[in-house]
Amino acid sequence: MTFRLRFLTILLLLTLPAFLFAADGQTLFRENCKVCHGKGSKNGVYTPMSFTQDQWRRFFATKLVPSHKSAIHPVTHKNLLEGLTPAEMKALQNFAVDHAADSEQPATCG
Amino acid sequence: MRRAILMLLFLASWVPWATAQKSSHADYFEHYEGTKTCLTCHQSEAESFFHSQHYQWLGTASHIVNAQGQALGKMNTINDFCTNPSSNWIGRVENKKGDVITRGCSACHAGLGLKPSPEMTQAQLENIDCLQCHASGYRRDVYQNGKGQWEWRPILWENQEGLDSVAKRIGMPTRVTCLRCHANSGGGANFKRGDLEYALSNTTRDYDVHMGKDGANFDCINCHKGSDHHVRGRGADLSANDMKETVRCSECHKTAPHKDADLNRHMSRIDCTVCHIPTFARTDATDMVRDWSKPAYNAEKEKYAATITLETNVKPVYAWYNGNTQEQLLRQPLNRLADGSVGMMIPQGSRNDPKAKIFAFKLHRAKLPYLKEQGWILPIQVEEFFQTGELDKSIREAAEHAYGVKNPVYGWADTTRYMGIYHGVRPHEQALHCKDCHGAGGRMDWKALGYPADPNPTGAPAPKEEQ
Repeated sequence: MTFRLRFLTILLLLTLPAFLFAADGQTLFRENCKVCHGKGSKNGVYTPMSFTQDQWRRFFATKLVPSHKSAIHPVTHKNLLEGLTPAEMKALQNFAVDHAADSEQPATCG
Repeated sequence: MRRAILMLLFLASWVPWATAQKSSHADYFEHYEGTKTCLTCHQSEAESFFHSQHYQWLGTASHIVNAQGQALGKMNTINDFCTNPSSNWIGRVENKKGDVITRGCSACHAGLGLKPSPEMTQAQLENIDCLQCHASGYRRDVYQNGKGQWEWRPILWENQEGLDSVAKRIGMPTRVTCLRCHANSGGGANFKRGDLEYALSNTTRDYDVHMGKDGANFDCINCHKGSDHHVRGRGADLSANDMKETVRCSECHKTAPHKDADLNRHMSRIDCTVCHIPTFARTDATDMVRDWSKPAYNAEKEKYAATITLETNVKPVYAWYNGNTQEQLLRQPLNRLADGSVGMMIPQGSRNDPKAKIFAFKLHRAKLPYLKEQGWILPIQVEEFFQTGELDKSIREAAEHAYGVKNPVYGWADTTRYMGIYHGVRPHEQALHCKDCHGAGGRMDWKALGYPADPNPTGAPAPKEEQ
């Protein structure tokens, strides 16, 4: 690989949107939501199809941060919200909306 | 100026109409509490729907030559896909992983779990699931009620705000709402019909001139329009007709729609679908052979099924059809065809029948059990079989359920079903040409159609003077 080609490849990778590197929404949902809201959880059972698309949009816009600001991830033992990048948060939201109860493919997170 | 004002007034007059078409029910009720909420204003519509084919799964079978006056439909006939819904109605069958492998045939019945009854009762009317067809964002699942009975409920049943939001988005059925059932019958996407693919929900004119967004952009109900919740259009392999009127191309397309007189001449004996649907199952493979005598285990889905042969881009077969069909019915002797197979659905008509035309069909072959002593075709209790793979047990239980026969002695019969192909209509650029049917390598089996030989063996268009 010539120096020029290598340089262009690195430049391209650096300029790619961050969301392309984020884990997929389903994995993020499973690893960050289901850990506390899985089957039988006393925190409430939530899957993407628990809400409509509008309800999920509202939840991410107005309710997620206030209701989870002191939530600790049970596996990493770190603050849940601080452990998620903006790109990962966006991927989570997209997954929840795309598989909401009134979407074309309602789903649990597997 | 006057013209502009008139134009504005004309456009303004359409605004309330456009709003009404959206049919949002936001102003009509506060909370959705099941079908009784709909019945508050739509009791008469529910009563009409109760008598329809979509609810009863039975109807007048005036085009089935051996119906002998019986009402026929899914509920009292056998097909060579999942056989019969009666003993496979509702439930929740899971594999070892806990994944749901079937919820029963009622997944596609517009009811909440009760089987349709002949008598119209309030309980039956409240069993109608209006949202299934009229609320595009509505989804449901099976749950057990307090009495241990299975029933369909909205998946948002514990989220009243969400449920209210979905239940207020009422409209006429869209392509998507129809295709959710009609494109997924028979066990998988496009397994049964072949020409009804989910791809039609968002497609182009090249794929289907009627439903393509850059074509006519029709919804299903543009052609399958009806009245009082009864829908027009009966495929050649359907038992009942919901309405007397059928759907014909000629309602919109004049009798001589081609510029070429030779093509117009063909129309007296050839249905439009023959040339304009050269292949089907273009996206999702369709089930062409289903052998129930050979159980197959799907390790990925942890589920048993029949051995199914799937194909894509299938060329139709061609047969004469005069609008009538012979069906293999319960408690009737096996209708053996010349090749020894049992004719499940056989289009009627011949070259000598002036009412018949050549139509395009999917030819589905299968192997089904039959009672040796009585010579009756047998269904299979497939829901149980999917989980356990115990075929013999599933046949025995179905024999008792269908005929009251406790210790059936059964054999296996090859079966043949002709299924009408009507969707995926291509534009003229992609339609068949002379040599697709005539000449060496043509797709028609002329002898089977009653011709001594290819009537145009060169495949050359007729000379202009003959046209």
